[in-house]
Amino acid sequence: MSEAARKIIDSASELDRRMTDFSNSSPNYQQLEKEYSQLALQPGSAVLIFAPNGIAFLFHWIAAIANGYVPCAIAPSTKISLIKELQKSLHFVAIVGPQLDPTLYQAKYFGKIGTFNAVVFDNTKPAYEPNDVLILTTGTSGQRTACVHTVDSLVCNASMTNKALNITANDKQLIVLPMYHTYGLVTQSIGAIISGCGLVIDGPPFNASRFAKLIEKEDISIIAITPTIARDLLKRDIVLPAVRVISIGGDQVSPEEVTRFLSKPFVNELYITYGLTEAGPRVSFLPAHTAPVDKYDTVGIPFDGISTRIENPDVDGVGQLLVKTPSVCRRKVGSTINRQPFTSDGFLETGDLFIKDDAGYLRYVTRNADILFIKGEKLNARSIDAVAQSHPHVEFARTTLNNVNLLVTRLWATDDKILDLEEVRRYMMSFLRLHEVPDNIIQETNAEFHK
Amino acid sequence: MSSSIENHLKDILIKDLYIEHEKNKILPTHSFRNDLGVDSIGFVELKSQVEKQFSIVIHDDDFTPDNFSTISSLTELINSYGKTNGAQG
Repeated sequence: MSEAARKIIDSASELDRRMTDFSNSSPNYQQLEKEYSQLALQPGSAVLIFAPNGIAFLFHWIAAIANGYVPCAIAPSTKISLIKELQKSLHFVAIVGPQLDPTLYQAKYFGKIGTFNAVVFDNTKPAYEPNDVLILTTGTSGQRTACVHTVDSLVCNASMTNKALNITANDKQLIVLPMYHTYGLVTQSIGAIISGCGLVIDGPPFNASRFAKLIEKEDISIIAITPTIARDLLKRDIVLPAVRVISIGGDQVSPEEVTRFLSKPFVNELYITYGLTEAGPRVSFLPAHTAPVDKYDTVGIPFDGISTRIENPDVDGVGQLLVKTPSVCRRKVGSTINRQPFTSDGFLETGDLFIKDDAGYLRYVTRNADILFIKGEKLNARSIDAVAQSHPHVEFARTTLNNVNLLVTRLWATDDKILDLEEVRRYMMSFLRLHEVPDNIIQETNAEFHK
Repeated sequence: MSSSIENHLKDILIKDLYIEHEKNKILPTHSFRNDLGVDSIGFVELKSQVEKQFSIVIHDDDFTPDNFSTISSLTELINSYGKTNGAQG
């Protein structure tokens, strides 16, 4: 077992003294570790954890690692059809979760681990190794893919954030972002575990007034929010209690928004961050409170130890950002992965277009065109197309955002059949999460259409 | 009246939030988060549908994990707004 994994596991027994989640449950870590052991899965077996934010989720995640299994967190709203597909494509040996209905899975065993239900499939040869961690890339690469990280790569990345933001045991973080995404899991949860700081986990739902009250009541010093939440706070002119650090990441923030946020009395240190799951996730950060105004439209400079370059820049210096980081994933897995996103000299291909200025600041030009933001959540339009195209009567699908930010999927039918669009919608709903379901589904009848 | 609201909330969960549970198996005491898998976007949609279908406006201070904990707690909240007669079938 690696030193990083040992550190995470050893910390588990004292986490309930450092963490609060308002769930009224008090999971016993030692008992969970023992119950995972009793599943007797082979080392490297992947375990899908299907649970809401909370200490219980974190304990399950750590207990799986302690037993040499490979945990993978997934949104609790994920549809059963997709989970079944993921079970096959990513080779999950077990699935656990509070709302899991064992009767829906053809499993060889079902029972309980702590208060969560658990199903175990055939204990076949594991696809991974002990110390691996799977992180789904549903928002970026599509629905059926994941990054194979290690506990070490995630701890390494969380350490970079802790160091850059000077997060120590004297701090207390508030988590309101989903812990099945890298920001909540790695940057905040693992970051808190290894720094020794306190951690308060809240929601959903997110509520700005409650957020403000919790910061005050719990004496929070570190918060992380998405640009969507930041814009909501600005729009409502919410005044938060002062915190030492606010970081904003997950999507682009405009220079005007940075300026407006910096003018707020509760902002001391404001960090704009950029990252992607494959990188572990954080790559660069802009300390906006000290940065020159002309850098507000950048995502700052890479963390210490990370190098970047622009691939084949055009005359304006625009090209794909390549990243070399010690926290990079080992590989990507899934049925749609046909090549690994690495250059021959070990740089990660981000798929995002950037300019790098003379001082090394990274300026976002555009993200991968397939990635859309709906209600603050990232999604990959091509994965929605893939779901539509898996319908037996759909030949081709194309999902886009229209001019009023509605998600529209256009369908071309096999042999120009007339589609029952309501039936196609129900079919798509059985795979997609709420924000991924198109607002409009339209059948195109262009017989001249060619893929 | 409360059972009618609970019934209406179950319909919202199934038709608008696409919760994959049989209606007759959803209990008033089921946790939206733990038992029904409602996540952050789901809660926003749930609030929006409750406002629309019960003709009420839920104050930001009431959009809390406590009020949006179970069908029972949300029913109590809707009752407290005293406008249940506006519910649409």
